[in-house]
Amino acid sequence: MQSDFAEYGRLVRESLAVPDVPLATIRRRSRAARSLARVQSVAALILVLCAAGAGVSLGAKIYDGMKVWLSGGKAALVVDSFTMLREPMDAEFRAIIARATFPVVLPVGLPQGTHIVRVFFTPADHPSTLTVEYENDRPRIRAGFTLLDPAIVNVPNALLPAGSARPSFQPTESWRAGNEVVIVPSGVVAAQQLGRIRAAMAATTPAASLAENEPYLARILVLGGSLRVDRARKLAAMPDASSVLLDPNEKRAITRLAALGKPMLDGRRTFISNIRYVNGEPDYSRARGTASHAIAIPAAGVRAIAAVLRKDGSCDCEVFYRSPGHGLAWVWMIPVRGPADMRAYAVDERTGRVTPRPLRSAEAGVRFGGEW
Amino acid sequence: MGRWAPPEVVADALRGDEDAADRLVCAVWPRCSRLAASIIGDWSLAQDAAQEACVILHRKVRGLRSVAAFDSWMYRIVLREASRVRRSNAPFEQLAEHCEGVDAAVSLDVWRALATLPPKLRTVVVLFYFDALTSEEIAGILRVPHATVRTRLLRARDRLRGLLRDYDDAYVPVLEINHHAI
Repeated sequence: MQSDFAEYGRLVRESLAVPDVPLATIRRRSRAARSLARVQSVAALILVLCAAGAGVSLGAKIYDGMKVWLSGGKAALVVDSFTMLREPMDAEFRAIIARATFPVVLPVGLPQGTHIVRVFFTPADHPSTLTVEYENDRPRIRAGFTLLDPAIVNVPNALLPAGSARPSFQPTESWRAGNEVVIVPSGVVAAQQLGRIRAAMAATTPAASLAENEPYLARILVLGGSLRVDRARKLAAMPDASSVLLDPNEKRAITRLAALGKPMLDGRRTFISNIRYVNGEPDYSRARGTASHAIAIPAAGVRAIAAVLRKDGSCDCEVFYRSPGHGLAWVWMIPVRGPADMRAYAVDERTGRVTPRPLRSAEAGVRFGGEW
Repeated sequence: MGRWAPPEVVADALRGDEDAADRLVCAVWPRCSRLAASIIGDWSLAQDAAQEACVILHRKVRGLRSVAAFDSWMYRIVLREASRVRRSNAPFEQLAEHCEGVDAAVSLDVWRALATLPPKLRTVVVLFYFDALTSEEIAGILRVPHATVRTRLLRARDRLRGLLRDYDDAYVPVLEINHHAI
């Protein structure tokens, strides 16, 4: 039973005239906040990854773009800029390693099925710090290994920022492997597993470790936080930079870009700069993020995908695109959920004609929840 | 469940469908604005708070664990944003100017009644009487003990009872609160 007050109150409140929902503003602000949050989480990750633990007798280190202070088995880090590359592909990864200021020994001995999710490095031209983030579902691993050049200039402890700009110190596992220092946040990798990785790194060479990391790299260009990336990877039978996977959110941009006649850009690489520290924490309010302007899908490919979406755009799908050349585009619609089968189309990029393409025997086995 | 938006719209938004997130924002917007106005007592600040709440909703809804958790989560967001922009001496009475289709005197009375309450008591009164939530549900949303909610409701009722004496008899039913409902 409700009182009169409740009834009147409800009536009066419901009578309040509400202006139209400012959806465009909300959407724009939501996207901006999401980008900022992504930057914050990335930089926070770097902060954790790069904190050094006991056993590294380096003193204080300075990097162009990064400063590390070691004290009593803990370390503090200040990074003012870094580059992040999501889902790195073989050539990109090799280029980063080749430009590093030290012979990079990558983590080896990781379990089968491991995948490199992101690479952070600074400075951009000749990295003296790399963080390689690995992921595996079974056994569950999500860990960043930070590889530092120990030959970088020492920084006097007097330069450790004071007051609110002073960074916090955090514990990690760390060791020397060849001519580098390896740092892993404490507790993210099981001790036994970490021991195996450490032993394997001690016994390998930079070239051998790079070769061992190749299977962990993306063989296709992945845009967005895709869910069916393993299947799309299998669709790209050959390493081919023209194969692109779009998650449902990236997919939505296709229609708009097709209408404008624009290509889809490769947003995997981001340069973050101007990171300040306030109260010991990174302050991103003035940080600047610059995304790469490399083209992931040319305008003709975007139009081809848009044509498929007009024909088959209602499903909650990821889009896998491949351009075999000769003005042809192949587009696969990979259902994100549900029992629906994957569908394939061939599109004439000049005319926009979409033709359903029978799935090849290997493709036909791709079903939700199934192995193939 | 389903106070803010149809569960199927919430479910679609939870799956990361951005169009569904847009639909969800459109669905919750009126309630967001009105709840914020009831707490803040200032129409333009309420719009700011509602917009902030909807930005958070749009950005974070996909991280929500279940459809069932949506209502409480949404209440928490709106109340938090409302408390951020809340000012003392809010012009509650001016809200009556934005009410349509109700007796202006009754409207004024309701807003004046809310204006007399401190924020904590006002919040439980709005949730209990206007949103028809139970005291257990309010305790869950505010993350305070159930007894605290009951105490706040009783205190609020006492304050509003005191207000009755200052009003004409004609307005008495408007401000009368059912004690047993608590």
